[in-house]
Amino acid sequence: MSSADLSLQHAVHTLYEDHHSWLCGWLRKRLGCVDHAADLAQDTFIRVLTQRKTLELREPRAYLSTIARSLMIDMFRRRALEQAWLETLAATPEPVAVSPETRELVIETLMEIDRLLDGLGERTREIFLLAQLDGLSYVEIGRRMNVSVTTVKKHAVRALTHCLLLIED
Amino acid sequence: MAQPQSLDYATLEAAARWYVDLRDDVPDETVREAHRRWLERDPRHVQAWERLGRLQDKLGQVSPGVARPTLASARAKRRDVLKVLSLLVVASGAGTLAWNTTPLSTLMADQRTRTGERRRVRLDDGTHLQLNTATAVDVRYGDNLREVRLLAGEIQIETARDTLARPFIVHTAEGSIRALGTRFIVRSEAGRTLVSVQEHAVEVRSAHLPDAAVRVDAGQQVGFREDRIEPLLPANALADAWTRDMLVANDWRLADFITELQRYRPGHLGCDPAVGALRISGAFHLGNTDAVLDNLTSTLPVRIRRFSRYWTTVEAV
Repeated sequence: MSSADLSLQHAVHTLYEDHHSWLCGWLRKRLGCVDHAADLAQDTFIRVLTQRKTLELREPRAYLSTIARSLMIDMFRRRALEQAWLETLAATPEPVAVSPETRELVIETLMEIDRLLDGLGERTREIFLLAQLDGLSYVEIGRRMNVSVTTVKKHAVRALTHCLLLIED
Repeated sequence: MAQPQSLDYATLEAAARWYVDLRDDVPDETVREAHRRWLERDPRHVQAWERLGRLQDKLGQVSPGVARPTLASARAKRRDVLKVLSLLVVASGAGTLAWNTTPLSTLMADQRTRTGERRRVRLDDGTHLQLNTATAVDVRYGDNLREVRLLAGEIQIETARDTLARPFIVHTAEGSIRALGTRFIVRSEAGRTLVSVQEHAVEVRSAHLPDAAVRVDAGQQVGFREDRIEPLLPANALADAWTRDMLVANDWRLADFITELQRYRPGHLGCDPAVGALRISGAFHLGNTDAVLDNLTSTLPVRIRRFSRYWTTVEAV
């Protein structure tokens, strides 16, 4: 372990001692649940460790709460997706049995797709999904959404480029 | 192999544009040649094109019938949650967030399949609805009618006896088909609907002539447009082969065969006009269109040229 790693660990340890219980309280107020608050506080410090930035923080609590907030949003996102997925399955005419592994895989993939589509407008997103998930032709999409094929294609190019920027080789 | 380079926006946009231009229409040789040249001009173009393939793979991991409603309703839920959350932050109130705020919506009334997918669905009254590749339908069951709207693609309907004795009607852009206790296939083509009946009979009406119904009996098929109904013909006995995951060709032109196969395959599949008139017969499994293509090379003087997973042409040897 390098000396940089050691000093980082030391810094995080100090940060943890000074602010962990404050962060738990901060999260508890927002989540209304002690267990979730403790979990997310833990995840926040793990994130600090893995970000490996030097920790000369002037406002450590602002820093911690920013990370905690983004983790909280991720958690909401995941729960909303899980819930939506279960409802969708429940509404499927045929009963579906899903193994825990499949469930994890599906949710993770849906999270990824959802993140890819972040920042796209409602219409662009809809056009992208109709084309790429449902496999509808641009002409059909234009007919359904009552817009010209040129417009559909313009949105499709924008959405695809947006996703390609976020995908890694 | 060269190290992957970082790709700029313009390159990725160009790849996306090629993809969009080539996706639906069968491009002529000039366009295909231009695309080929674009790929050859710069390794980054190939890299961007392959990245498109990876995006497709990612999207292909989830079933579209589940993914789309899930993503849409998750988004709505999140908006609700964020509203609640912003209230909580202000009030610093306790209490866990309720996750069941969104009522179970009717999102799943709509059934869809992606390219290459086929699905069988049982409707409320016991009617079986089978969706062929790239198909979209809306299902509306009301007090007086059972209605299915075919938005794209092809379906087979096997109606069940309804306890409420509601008529069963399929709508398309060109008109409607009323089932008379029966099994039949409806296929939507550009500006035309094709109906073939396997059991009993249906009544067909074109959109502009709602009073002129034509009865189509088992073993018959008919095409119609919004303003006219074509003459009745004997049904293609294998029109329903796709419901068994098969494509059956009986002395077809290769060009027609490839056009039909393309329906089941994402990406571009083209046929060189030089071999389009060759004849082909056989029964092919739709589950693996790549195997079907490879199979062609053993019976016909053709070769399969694959530029990438989403760009394939059948050419003369």
